[in-house]
Amino acid sequence: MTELDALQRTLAAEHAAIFELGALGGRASTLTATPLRTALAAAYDVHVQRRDELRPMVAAAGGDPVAAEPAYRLPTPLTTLAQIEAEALRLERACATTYAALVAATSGPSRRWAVDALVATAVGEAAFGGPPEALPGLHG
Amino acid sequence: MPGWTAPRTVVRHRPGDRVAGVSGSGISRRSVLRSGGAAGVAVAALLTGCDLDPGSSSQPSAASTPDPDQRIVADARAVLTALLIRLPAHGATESLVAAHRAQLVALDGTAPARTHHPFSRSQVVAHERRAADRFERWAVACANGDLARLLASIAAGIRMQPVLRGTS
Repeated sequence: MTELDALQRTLAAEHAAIFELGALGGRASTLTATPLRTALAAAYDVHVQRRDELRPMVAAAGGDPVAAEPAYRLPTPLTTLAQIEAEALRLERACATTYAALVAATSGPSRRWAVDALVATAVGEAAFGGPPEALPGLHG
Repeated sequence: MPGWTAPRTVVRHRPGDRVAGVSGSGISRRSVLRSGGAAGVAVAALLTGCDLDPGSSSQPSAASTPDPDQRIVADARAVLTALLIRLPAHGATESLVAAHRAQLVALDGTAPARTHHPFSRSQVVAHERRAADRFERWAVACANGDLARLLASIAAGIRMQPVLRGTS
């Protein structure tokens, strides 16, 4: 996988993550779990920022930044706090795996970006009930 | 690196795909070092200096052109081993010890059997943060992508420990 491919796949993953986190936030708005809503909003902001950082990285690598799909399929049901939290954790773990793949496929500043994203995402998993892992991003 | 093939990542996004499409390449949790796949072979070569390409020269490449990644792997093992020797294997650092053991195994190292002069809580936090910093630097600096991924994952695995987040 080239560096450009890896950057494009990470950007595509960010598009999907933003979509899903928006949906999860909407579902969580009907619940009283304020900490979960706060965590979802924070994660949404982080992924938007990463998307905005990745676009120029893709362009600098010679690519045309991949666009978001019109929609993404969400798991069902997503009605309880536990279901929403579990899906958010699954999403963050999937993103960690994507960032780990980007680490492997890049060098220099892009790899530095991917390392930082992997570390921050792993740390952030705790907000969705994720237990510590020895090797985050290497599963799956 | 002779005989090395990068692992493939296949992620497709189609309209209507579930967000399960958010993923990277599959890689064994037991690490690139212990797997029988290409990545494991790659790092086995790093560790031994072996020439894995049967069609190439049989000269010991490590002796003539030392691989900087070999030094990183050795240093990474040494850091984890040193931490394990000083970490109490109970209480707040129990999961940290388990993580380091798994990480050391992933680097094809062997965990020390005993703990000596265990760290205080503040020493644990300081040494672990320093270790995470080093693993992040090594991840950026090393040449092999799969090794970089493993080192970055170890750094993340350290930073997500409750004792470093102040929640244990």
